[in-house]
Amino acid sequence: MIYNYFTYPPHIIKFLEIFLSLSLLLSSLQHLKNIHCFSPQGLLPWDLLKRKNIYVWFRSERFKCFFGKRSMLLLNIIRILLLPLYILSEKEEFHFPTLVILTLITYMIYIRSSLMSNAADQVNNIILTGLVISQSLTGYTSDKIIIYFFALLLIVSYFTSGLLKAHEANWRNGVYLKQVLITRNFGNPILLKSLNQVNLKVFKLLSQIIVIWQLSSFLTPILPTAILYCYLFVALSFHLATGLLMRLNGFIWTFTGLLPTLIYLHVNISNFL
Amino acid sequence: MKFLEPILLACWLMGIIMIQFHERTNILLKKRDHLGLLPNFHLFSPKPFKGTYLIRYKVMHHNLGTPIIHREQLSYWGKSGLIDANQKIIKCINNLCKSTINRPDQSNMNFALLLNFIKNDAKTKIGIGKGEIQFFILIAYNGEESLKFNSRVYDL
Repeated sequence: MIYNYFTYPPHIIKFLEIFLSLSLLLSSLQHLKNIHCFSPQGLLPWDLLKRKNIYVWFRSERFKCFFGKRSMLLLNIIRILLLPLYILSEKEEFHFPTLVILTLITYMIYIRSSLMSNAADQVNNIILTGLVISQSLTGYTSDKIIIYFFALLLIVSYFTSGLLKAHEANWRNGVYLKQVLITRNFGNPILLKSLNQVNLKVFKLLSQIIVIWQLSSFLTPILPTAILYCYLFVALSFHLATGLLMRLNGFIWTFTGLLPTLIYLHVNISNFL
Repeated sequence: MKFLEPILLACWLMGIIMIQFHERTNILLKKRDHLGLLPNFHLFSPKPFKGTYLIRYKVMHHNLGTPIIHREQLSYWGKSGLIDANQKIIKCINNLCKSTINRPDQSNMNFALLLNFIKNDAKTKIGIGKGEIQFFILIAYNGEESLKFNSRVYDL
């Protein structure tokens, strides 16, 4: 049933839009929670950030008003208000302008808070930009190529990560996985003590499952359907685990939203073969 | 217009693949990626750090005559919720610790972020608006502490 549901492009795009919106909502709520950091006395004042080379375009004083604490507050509130409008609007003449405004606001928030951002925020930007390109050139309903693009992006991200882990002996034997999960920077403080007591063999097994799962990502288009389901189940469990254990909450929504694109790619490759 | 979409997306995907596996492309494109549209998925495989970084800083308030010494431990910084900002700070500290003691301070963005964090911490915890600050980075591992970096004196 799920397989058949995701053979239809608008279903995949709608699913992706809902999960993307949830990820953006979470990101905005985190910014609002830490809004004090964006004031001149905070940890991330604009005067400090604009020293970075990539902000060369925004060094002029006239841009200051766009990146202060108040504008950050305003941008995040507007983004939160736009999200239900974006998901619920069905008509193309209303849906597309909302998407463009949402993308521009997300760019501005990203520029201002890039030090707080992670790969999930970058993938959110890619999804929004991809949707703008696709919907401006081919319209809302005929999104086929963009789905292939998202599926390939997901495969590249998993494969690259798996390849790096496979190269490191300490990732293969589980040492790095355990150490990452018990550091205060990546780990969850509530689970630190209990994870520290878990045998290294468990982490070795988990680490090897993760490496094999990530490396096998490029096989997903040609896997038998039953194994594809197993692959997607591991992917979902992996993102839930990173969200809960490593507090990377955005990853759950962004990457889960992209998983149906793998089903679509699988369906079309199977039909072709 | 329909042909434009596959061309654009194919070029973009090629850029993303190149940035993962080709060092020169990575350097070239990373400088121009202002919007995070060319992510580097190496970040998905973080390397943990053994031991604990200790940051100790000394705040000197001239009116009192004697310096107030305050200690702060980096591993507690996760409480702020700014996980990635902390990762940048740790990256900066890693760079500083690789070099020999007393080398000139780095004037890069991450260093400014670290210094700003320490200054804010000092202002919050000690409550002094004016004065001077100097900080030290130590690594504590297996009960032993070793000094890795000491900064110049900065205005608070």
